Amino acid sequence: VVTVSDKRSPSVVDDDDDLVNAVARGDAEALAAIYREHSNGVFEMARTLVGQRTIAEEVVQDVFLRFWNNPERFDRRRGTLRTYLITLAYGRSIDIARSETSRRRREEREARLAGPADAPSEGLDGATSAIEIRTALEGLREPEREAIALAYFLGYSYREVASRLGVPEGTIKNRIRAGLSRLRDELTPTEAAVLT
Amino acid sequence: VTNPTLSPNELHELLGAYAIGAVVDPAERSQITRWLAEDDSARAELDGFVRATSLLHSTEGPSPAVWTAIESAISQPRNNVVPIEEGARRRVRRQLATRVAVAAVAIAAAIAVAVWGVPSDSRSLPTKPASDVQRAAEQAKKVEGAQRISLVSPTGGNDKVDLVVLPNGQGYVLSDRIARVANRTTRRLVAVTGGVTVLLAKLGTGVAVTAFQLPSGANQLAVVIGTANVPVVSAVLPTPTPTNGATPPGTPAPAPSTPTPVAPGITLPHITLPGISLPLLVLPPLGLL
Repeated sequence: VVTVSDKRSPSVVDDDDDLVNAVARGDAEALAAIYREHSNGVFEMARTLVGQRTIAEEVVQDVFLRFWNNPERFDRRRGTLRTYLITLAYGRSIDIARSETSRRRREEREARLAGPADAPSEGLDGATSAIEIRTALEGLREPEREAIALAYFLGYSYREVASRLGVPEGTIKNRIRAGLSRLRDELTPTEAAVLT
Repeated sequence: VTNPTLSPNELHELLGAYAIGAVVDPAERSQITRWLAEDDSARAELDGFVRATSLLHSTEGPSPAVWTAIESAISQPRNNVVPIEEGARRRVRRQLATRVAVAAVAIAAAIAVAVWGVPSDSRSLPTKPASDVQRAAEQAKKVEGAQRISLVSPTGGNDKVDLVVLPNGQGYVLSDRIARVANRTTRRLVAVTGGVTVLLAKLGTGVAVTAFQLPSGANQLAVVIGTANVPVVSAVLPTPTPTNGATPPGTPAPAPSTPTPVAPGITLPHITLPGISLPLLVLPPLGLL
């Protein structure tokens, strides 16, 4: 069973403080060090929520620039730097996921009103050259992503997730289970064998 | 302990949460452990869930272009590092200014329509930038070393976008004349840097975003429409864009010497940052507002 613990040793927390203070002084190398340490976690949280790698990268960019502009908003009494950055990624990703959902619905509605869709543009080189590449994570429904992301990347229990989202505990248990079932079904036999 | 005795259905329901460490109640955990020891199918299901979590992890992480864009953005003077109280006041002032600006634009648009009517050429989309960005763009045109760049159609069409880019990489869209394509109104200004295509700004419907930050080492600019990665207009940049200090990934590519459109039919490298505009990247430096 994989769990992501946010309990860090005092020295790591002190390192966090030193780096955050350096960022507050405008030290780009300090931001680079924080990026090296935490960008992957931020990216994984974002990708889980938004599905697409490309948009998740945009979230990473946004999170680190927000942190650069407002390092004083990090309060170590409320958690580690990792938790703070991943929480920023969570908020931004949820905003994007919801606006993307609205945009897609709007575009689908407009497309229905406009009749048959345009033919693909010249120069497209099959599905892989399109901007948006479908990933297994895109198969998840938004509520499933959110429940899994909060539990898996921020370490919340299912009860805490339910409380945070204001839904019954049973709903969260089912969302996590359904989301993981969908992901499991996306694993190819080869992937499953390699991972076993 | 909130669940002294879990039914088989409840145990099944909890298995997903258990697989990702979201069951912390000791009583629940011990009952699940006992159940797993006795039930082969439950163990198999748990294995499947644990394997599925591998899809939540990234072996590669974000592409190097992400750090390149961050590095480029932080080379600008930081304008938000102020005490929290002052920051809050400034936000209020900005919100107020934004509302006033939006109201002014709406009134001006209503007057313009009343006086001149709707433009006859409704196929093209001249950008109407917010007044503060427009002012910054006007100032940018006068800065020594600023480059004026025209993105033109690779196929010889009339589509054209004019830009100005300052030596520090801050850029502005001065004019945007791209014919509207039905159902494909999302237009993205992108740069190619180190063989990777990076989103600079989203143009078109809704809020017009006309400022952008050119990443270090960018050697091509283009506008793409919708989800296609074929440039509608494009240009090869005459000189490499500036780079600055901090380390991580991203190696800029060398740039040719004269601005030329990208060859017809060329397909840009995979877009790495599509879709959503980044306010922190597209706002001009505070000094220019």
